[in-house]
Formats: sequence, C-alpha cells, structure tokens
Amino acid sequence: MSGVVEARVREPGTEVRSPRTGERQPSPSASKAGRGFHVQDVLAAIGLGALLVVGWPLWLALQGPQPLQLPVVVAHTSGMLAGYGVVVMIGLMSRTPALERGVGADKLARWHSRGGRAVVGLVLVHAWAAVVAWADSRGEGVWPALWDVLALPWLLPATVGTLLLLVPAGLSIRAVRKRVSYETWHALHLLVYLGVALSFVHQLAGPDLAGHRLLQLAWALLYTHVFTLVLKHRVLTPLRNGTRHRMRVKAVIPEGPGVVSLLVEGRDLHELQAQSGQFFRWRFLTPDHWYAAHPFSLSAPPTDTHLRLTVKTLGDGSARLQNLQPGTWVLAEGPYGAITADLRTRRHVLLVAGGVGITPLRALFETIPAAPGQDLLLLYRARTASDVLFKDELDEIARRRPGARVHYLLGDQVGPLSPELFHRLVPGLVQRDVYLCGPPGMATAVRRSLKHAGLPGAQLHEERFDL
Amino acid sequence: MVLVHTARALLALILGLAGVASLEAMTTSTSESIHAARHRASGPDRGGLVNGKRALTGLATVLALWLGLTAPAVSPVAPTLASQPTPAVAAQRAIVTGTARAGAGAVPPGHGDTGPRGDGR
Repeated sequence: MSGVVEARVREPGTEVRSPRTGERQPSPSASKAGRGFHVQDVLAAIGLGALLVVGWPLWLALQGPQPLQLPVVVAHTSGMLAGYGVVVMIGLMSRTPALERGVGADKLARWHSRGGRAVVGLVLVHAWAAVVAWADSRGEGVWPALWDVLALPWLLPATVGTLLLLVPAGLSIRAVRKRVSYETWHALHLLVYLGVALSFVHQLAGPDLAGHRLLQLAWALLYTHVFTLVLKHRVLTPLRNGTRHRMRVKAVIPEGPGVVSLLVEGRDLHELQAQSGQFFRWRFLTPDHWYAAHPFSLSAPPTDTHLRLTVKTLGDGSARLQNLQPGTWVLAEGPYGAITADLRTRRHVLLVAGGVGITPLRALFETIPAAPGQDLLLLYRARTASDVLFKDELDEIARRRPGARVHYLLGDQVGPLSPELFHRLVPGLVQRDVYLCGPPGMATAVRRSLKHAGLPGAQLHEERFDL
Repeated sequence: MVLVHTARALLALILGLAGVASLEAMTTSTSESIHAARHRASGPDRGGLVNGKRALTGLATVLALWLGLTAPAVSPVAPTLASQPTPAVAAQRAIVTGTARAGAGAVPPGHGDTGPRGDGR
C-alpha cells in the first residue's frame, strides 16, 4: 500500500539552529542557490520599507498647511502603506528561491495570509479617508464627494482594482474558503494581478509621488522587478525546466482506494538537486490541470531519471489526478522544503509521521544516513491498519538498513501521543534529531509532547502542511 | 499567416527569456547529437539562466523607466489630499467666519456702507 500527501500549504519553514552553536543551519538547497534570506533579515527589510513609506507622507504633511487634517493624514499614510503592502505580498508569493529556502514556504504563506488582510484593510481605510478629506475640503457630503472622487483621473480603474482585490480576500475568509474548491480559489486569486495593474497609475499619480520623479521611478522599479520575480519563478523557470528535463508521467500506479502514485520520468533530473524530504509544485498539462500547480512531496528518493509522488483524494484536483494518462507532460517548480538529511545534527534520528504525512518521511527513511551503531526509528501514526501507507516498502527498508526500525501506532490500539509514550518507545529521545510531518492536530499534539519530554526545540525539524 | 508569425515570435520571446535555445534553431534541428549539444549548451551553468535573468531585469528596468518618466507630474487629487479648500469653499468659510464675528459685536465686513440700510435716506 502506498500513500500520498496533497499539501495545500505544506512546506517546512521552521527556523533551525544548531543545538551547539545556535547558528542557523543551512537549508538543503542552500548549496544550490545560496543560504537564502534569514527570517529576521526579511522582516527587517519589510519593516524598514514600511517605515519609509509611512514617513514620507508624514514629512510632506508637516511641510504643508497646518493644522494637519486627520482624514488627510490617514488617507496619505494608508494609501502609501497599501501600495507598498501589495507589492510585498506579491513578492512573498513570487517563489523566489532565496525566500522559499531561507524563510520557508509555510511561513511565507502565513505572512501572505495575514498581511493580505492588513493590505485590504488599508486600501479600504485609504478610500474612506480620501473621500472624507475631499468632502471636508469641498464642504459637501460624503456621497457627492464619492461621486466627485470617482470622476478624477485614474480613480475609476483604481476602484475597479480595489474591487478585484476584495474578491480573493473574501474567498480567503475561513468560512467561505471551506466551500470553495482550491482550483476556484487559486484562479480567482489571479485577479489580484489585474487589480494591481489597474490601480498602479493611481499610485504613481498620487500626491505623495507626483512631482517627485525619482520616487516615481523607484516605485515603478519596485513594482516591475517584483512582477519580474513572479514571471521568472512562477512561469518561465517551470517552462524552462519542462523543456530541459522533458518530464512526463510514466505510470499511474493505484496504491489503494483514493490513492495513486505518479511516476514521472525525465532526463538530467540530477540538475534539480532534489533530495528526499522535499517537494515540488506540479503542474500537469491537461485541460483539467494546467492552470493550477499542486504541491506534492516526493514519496521516493529522486533519481536522475525518475521522480515519484503519491496523491490521495482530498479535493477535486487531486481526484482528477487519478485519471491522468501516461505520457502527460509535467511542469515542476522546485525543489522546495527543508526537512532533509542536511538538518541532522545528532547521531540518532526519530521520524514521526501521521496519516498522509508519511510521504516525505518515507523517502527520508530510505536515504537518511545511518551508520552502524546509529538508530533510525520511524513512528507512524494511522487511524487503522488499512490507513497505513507504504507498509510493504517501510518494512523492506527496515529489514535492509541496519539500525532502522518502524513502529506503527494505530489509533484504535494506542492512546494519545503523550510524553510518556515517546519515552517508552524511543530510547534516548532527547539525544535525537526528530523529523515530524503530519496533519495539523496530530503535529500540534506531538510538538507539545516532545517539548514536555525535554526535546530541545532546535532538534525538531518539522514539515507543516495544511490539508 | 500573421497569427502564425505572431505566435512564433511570442514563443521565441518566452523561450529566449527562459534561457532556452532559439525557436528557429530548435525547429531546424533534427540530429540527436546537435540537439544534445544544444541541450547541454542551455544548461544552467552555461549562461542560459543568466542571460534570461539579464533580459528580464533589463525589460523590467526599461518598463519602470517608461512608467516613471511618463507618470503625471501633478497629482489630480493633490488639492484634496493636501486639504487645500477650493476658492468657493474658502470664500464661503470667510463669510461664515465674518458672520460669526459680526454676531459677536465685531465690525462687519464693509462694502462701503457702515450704517443700517433703509433708514435716514
């Protein structure tokens, strides 16, 4: 039996520091494309930029007529911050390798989610404050002022752009998001780019930038280069990888009810420098799938000619993947993810998998170095015996590799994953590196138990994903 | 025919930006050895990505220059957000202010007549 993970947002991203030195450990792909940006550096850069874009309109206001009018100040600062926030949000999702590897896609997605709400709020505050400021300056009501403002040059496209921003924002509300398919949500998210384009001239023509040619140039450079990152890493690089490595589905192997493995063949795949534990964003070039890329972990160690991923039915998209035909062309973005053997700092290793979270750990279980005398233990939590994935393969690996063992923790036989359970099953727990991948609830419970059991946080390498 | 040329030009641009060999060269290559050599030449460590990156960066810079240099020098919303009242509003405010002062016993704004109209004529 074999299993799959469809991870909506599932990449590692927890910052890892050496337990001895406190230094950040290099991510697995750091050797390929540098270490990546540090979380603190990225946050500092974003914060510094925010201070600058807020400070500039405030300085301008202080130079202008006094006393300051609150709606005016709010309109200026919120507008500048919203324009800056939009480009930051797009940059976070540009799949730039230095960000993906240094910060982690899961963190980036969380920042994007929270920051996106803030940006939408700022846009609305800016619109409200600007209309109120106009009404005050003209001595008219809010509604006539709104009509007047919409008639100003570039304001109507900007308003349409704002409405387009509100569509994905509304769909991202948790209650709504649950009712919308991933494909629909993803497709409507693309409206953001159109919305940003429609509002861009309004930004350049805003009172804080108009007349300051250098600032207008800098603002335009910021936007065009961030959009370039998106084009490069989300469109051109996958296209290039597709033409270079010529990846196609070689076989679709049924693994069980609702579960298939997709064997992808290609050439010179070693150039991708993928490792066990990592994932790609896969785009299958069929009429049903070409428009959306799905993140799936490698379920077997990558080779020069083959990659394997395993897919479980979790949504409309993954359900249709089971009907893929051999020969289907594939575009792959990646590799991403940092829970690889490179993170290891201790002699003994514990792998903790839950449900479909076994996928990346199954590949790690086969390849993570285990010298004689070193212990490699896999704890695999599943609800029932029939839910255990890759059982034959895992048993075979455990037989073949010295020091490798696997324990299946079935929900109907084993109680909660308590600290006592870990101490009982895992000798020398606190002396191990622990790799964790599982559903959010199970991962939270394991994280808490390991902490109570005394495992240093730096030794926990986690693959978070949100199903 | 025009559409075909346009599509080919667009595809060539995309492939060029992505650092892949030119479309013309790709369509005329039939020898596996030539194809393999071209494949190697387009490798990431032989400048393919670098050239694509430069082309993209250059395009982005040119676009930004065009946008920045053609952007409006005067903001159409500047009077609003700078909170500069229009002349009509300023005049109205002046009148209101003057009326208020008159009500408080101040000298009303003069139009040349300092006395009450209609009496003493």
